Amino acid sequence: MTLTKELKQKPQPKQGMLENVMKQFNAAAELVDLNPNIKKILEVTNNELIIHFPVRMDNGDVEVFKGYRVQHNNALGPYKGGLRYHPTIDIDSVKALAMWMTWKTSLAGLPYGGAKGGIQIDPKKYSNAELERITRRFTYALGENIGPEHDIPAPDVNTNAQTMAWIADTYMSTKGPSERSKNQHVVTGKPIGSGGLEGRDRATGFGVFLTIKNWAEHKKIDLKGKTFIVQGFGNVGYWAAHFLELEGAKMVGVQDAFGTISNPEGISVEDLMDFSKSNNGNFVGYPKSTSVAKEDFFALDCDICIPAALGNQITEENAPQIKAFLVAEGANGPTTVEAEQILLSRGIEVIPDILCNSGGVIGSYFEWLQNRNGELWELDEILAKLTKKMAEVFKRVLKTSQEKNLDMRSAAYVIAIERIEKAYIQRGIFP
Amino acid sequence: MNTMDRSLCRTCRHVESCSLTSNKSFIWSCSEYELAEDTKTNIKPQTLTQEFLAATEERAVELI
Repeated sequence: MTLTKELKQKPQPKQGMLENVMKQFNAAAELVDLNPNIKKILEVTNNELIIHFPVRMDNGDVEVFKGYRVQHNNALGPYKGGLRYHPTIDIDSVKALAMWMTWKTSLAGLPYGGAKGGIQIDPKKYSNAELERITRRFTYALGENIGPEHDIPAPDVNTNAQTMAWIADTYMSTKGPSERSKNQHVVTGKPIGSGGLEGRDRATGFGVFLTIKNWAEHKKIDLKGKTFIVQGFGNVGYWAAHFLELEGAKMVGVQDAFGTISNPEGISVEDLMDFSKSNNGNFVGYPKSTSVAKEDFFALDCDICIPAALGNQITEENAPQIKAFLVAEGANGPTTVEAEQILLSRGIEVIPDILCNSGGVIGSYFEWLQNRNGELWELDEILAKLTKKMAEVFKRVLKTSQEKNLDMRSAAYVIAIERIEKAYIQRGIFP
Repeated sequence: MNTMDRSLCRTCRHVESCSLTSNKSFIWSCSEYELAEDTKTNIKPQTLTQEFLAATEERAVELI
């Protein structure tokens, strides 16, 4: 008896990311009073593929790799989500990321479900030719588990437009000649010359800017002259700052992996980018700024704070020091649950990640549509479509937030989950 | 348990000097992530071949 009890009390392995995503889902399910039968479906993944596949290395040896593809839910349309190449990837992390994609695509009102995948590999240890063979062999091994109307991968950590071009080419090569071009949209994030979307690089950052603009318009706040700080000066942070500057706002602080700088009089986004480019990507030492201790970054005086780098950056320790009236989450999960409570109690509003950084997946949807319809869209057309789509999503979140008296994050999850619930209720469960 | 086992930081070029965060546990998304030119952590790729070879080596040691 004692032995049984002890066995049952065996500590469970730490799941980190999956645990967090499940917590968010359970909280949201409670808020929407989700149908218990539909909850049962959504708390598990539809399909989990673990594929072992052999690839010949440059030296003639054969290595066997482990690849994953987790398809969480497809009630709203084909599965959609990135492929990452990293040694730390495992089934739990992929499950969590796939579930996260389901909420993101649902909130954005896209006809997609959620998926994620990748290969357990450190890409730096392989030559480019080996990486191409690994990617192509993985695509072949995935077979009909991916497809333009079934599951559409995209770039993620350590994968890029080139990786997507290899996948598209391999997948298309497995089809008959007359079918090949119909399958180009099996992946998104392709190079522009191979069906990729103009402006895909700026879609997420532009989306961050648009949510801030939509929020400001709703609050009747003019962005001209407003100050902002941005954490992360990569694709997301840079483009968000670029468009905010065009709108007349002033960047007064920026932090990236190299350091933190500030200038209350303003830092020119373009000047800083030029300086950074000429300095191997490092902006530390930019002449019209002063260096700031990294722990003081979020306490800088500003109107808008944009954490656009990584998770768990705004915590219960630094949340009381934030001076901005708005936090726009360009990164995934930058604000902890405790910190958000502090911010909201201080009257600081938070545009949640699932809404704020959804410009990227909307951009992917546009690429898919463009390929599917045999069209080529111009950059200004794409930015106009993105502006319209982001405004619609923002309005939906705002309306739900007001009607149900919820913060914007809870409202976003309510919309995402209710949309899937509605699809299940309308269609029923087979048989 | 080494929490870096679950973190992107493990292969990031900024892992030693990153000014964004000192807590590098369970980082699964980062816009500043850049693959290190030469990973200092000396982690071999986890492929089945290597798992098998490692296991075989272990058995050989046991037999000796």
